[in-house]
Amino acid sequence: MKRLILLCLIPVILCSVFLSVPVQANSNIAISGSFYRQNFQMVPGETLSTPDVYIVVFNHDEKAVDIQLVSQTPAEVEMFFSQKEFNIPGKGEIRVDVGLRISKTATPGDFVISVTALIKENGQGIVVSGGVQQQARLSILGEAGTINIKTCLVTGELFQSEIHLSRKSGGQLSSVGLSESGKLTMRLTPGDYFIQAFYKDVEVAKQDFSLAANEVKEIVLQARTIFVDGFSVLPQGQGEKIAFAKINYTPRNIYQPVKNLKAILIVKFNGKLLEETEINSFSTLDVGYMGYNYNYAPAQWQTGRYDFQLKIVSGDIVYAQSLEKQLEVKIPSAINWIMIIGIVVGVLLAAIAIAIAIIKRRKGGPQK
Amino acid sequence: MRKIVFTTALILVLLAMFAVPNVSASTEGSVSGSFGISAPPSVDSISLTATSLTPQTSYTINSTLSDPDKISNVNTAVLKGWYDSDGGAPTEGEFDAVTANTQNGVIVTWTHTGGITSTTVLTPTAGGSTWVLGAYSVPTTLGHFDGTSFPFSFNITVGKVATETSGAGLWQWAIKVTDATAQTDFDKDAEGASMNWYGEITVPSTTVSWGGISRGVDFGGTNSQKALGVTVNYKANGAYDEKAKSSASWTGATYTATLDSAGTCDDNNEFALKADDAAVITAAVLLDATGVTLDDTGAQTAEAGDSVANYNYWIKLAASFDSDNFSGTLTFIVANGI
Repeated sequence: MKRLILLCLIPVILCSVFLSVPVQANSNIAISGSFYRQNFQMVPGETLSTPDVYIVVFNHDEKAVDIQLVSQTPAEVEMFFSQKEFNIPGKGEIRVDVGLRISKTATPGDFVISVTALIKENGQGIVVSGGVQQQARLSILGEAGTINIKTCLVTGELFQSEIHLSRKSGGQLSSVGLSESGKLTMRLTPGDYFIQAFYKDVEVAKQDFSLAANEVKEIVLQARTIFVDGFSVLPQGQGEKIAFAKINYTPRNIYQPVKNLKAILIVKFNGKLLEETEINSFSTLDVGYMGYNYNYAPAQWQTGRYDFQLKIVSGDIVYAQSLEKQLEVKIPSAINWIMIIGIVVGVLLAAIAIAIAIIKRRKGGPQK
Repeated sequence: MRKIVFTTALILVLLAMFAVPNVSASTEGSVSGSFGISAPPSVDSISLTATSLTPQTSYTINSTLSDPDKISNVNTAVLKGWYDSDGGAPTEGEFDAVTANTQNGVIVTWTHTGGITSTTVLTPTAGGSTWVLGAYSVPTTLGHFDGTSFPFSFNITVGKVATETSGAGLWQWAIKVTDATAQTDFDKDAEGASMNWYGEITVPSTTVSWGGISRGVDFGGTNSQKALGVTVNYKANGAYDEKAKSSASWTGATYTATLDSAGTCDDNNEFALKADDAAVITAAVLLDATGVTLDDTGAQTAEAGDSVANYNYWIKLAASFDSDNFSGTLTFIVANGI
């Protein structure tokens, strides 16, 4: 009887923390993205929300997984996501934008914040699972300046570009702002920054700037919507002689048709301007691109370096310009070794001929 | 005497004819070095739009190549992407020195094998490489090969352990074209690109059971230790931390057990956990519900990753603990080193 009671008591005095469970799938997930790279520097009251700050969660398993994102932040800092719970199909991936909101009463200081992607397990028992995390540094600062940025066309009109604003720190860029309206106003911590403006994923402008505490700075970015692609200079001729340089270029217009444009070829010789030549004109340069070429020859080729650049202009407005391309030209020497050898041989022959004539004359006695 | 004078004059006239410079040559020029019967090929452009790369994501590199002697005269086009620790503008010498390996270099080689046929190959392929060549655009028709330029493009999925960049470090991208007479041209993407940190973890399916344990058991007490029994694998392209956590509570049929991350377990149904990656209780770390670091010395791995096979847990229970069968989660986490 005592033995029976003991057997009954065992389950009571012991706590079993195990239950048989259904088979779970392997956890095979990964994380990447730009969140960890940000050295966030923010001021109380500031909100950061940009698609440039993101994580990518990968599911490398064959089966789909349910993922939950969990953040770790100090009090008065809120981390928010474009989606917080989601399903990733087998061999799939999900990109999630990450934002930060600092309360107006946040205490300045340095912190480590993180975002963790966890697999939502629903099995029975104590299930072992995998998670992936990115950690980043956050500094909440007390001082700030204000920046007003806008993007304009070369003609001065406001241009609706996508502005990306990044902080430069330790050779790295950390995203701090984004606008799709072509204008951006933000309060920022003092420091060095970099702006890029895009139109349909094409970079149309970029600029560095520095901002001091309590400074208000206005920046107007001039957007380039016409580009010169594929600019090349290829020497053409026969044998070792250059006849002309073949100039290839492809104007590319990404925004809207522009009227009355000209293609100007600028040529320098040994660093000095040689000539500016209009090599093409466009009554209307439509959106898209088309390749052209032009055969260039100066009045006289000379030994030295020729620099070529192409500009697309309308009056005094420069819409686009190419990179400079160089061409080294070498004129063959006027007197060459064959010629010198010929002269030497000729002189020798002349000397021999004179000597033979003198000898014959002496042998033949005085002429009558 | 007349004969002598005539002969000498004739020779001098001939010499004078030799000595006059070639006027046409002096008014025309030649390009030093390579200009000859075959014009050199040219890299007109190469660009990678993205300035920040994420492993296991695909990107397209576009490059227009030309050859005045037609594209059919081009033998090879070699695109390379490589980790450059000091950044800056890459040189042709750096390009030439790049070899393919999963961490620091990828090479796509297009070879014109004759007529309108060609091969396009990505390396590395060994070492479990996760670099992948996706869609690409290369000359395929007579029209393409008869043209003097062609817009090549290559879609590449970045490998898992492609070295993470920091500081001035960049992944550089450049291409070199070689024609049938071994003339070459080289150009590079102007900006290069940073590489984001990548971390991956593989945890085989398993559960942990301590079986029956006594109320009030402390860390190191009877049956408190439990080996995980499976190997956890970590892959990363830079420094990484191993972390572990427990769910904040374990749910039973009737009762709920609460994790005490302070490890005192003073209250009813509280439990605490320690974990270590080498089964050493004195080195074990008290777990919380958000993740604590077990090891912060992880470094860039090979594609095979680093495996840890000796994880152990220790459990502590409150003196007052209701019997139940509990369900919860223990999680291993890979995080970027910071």
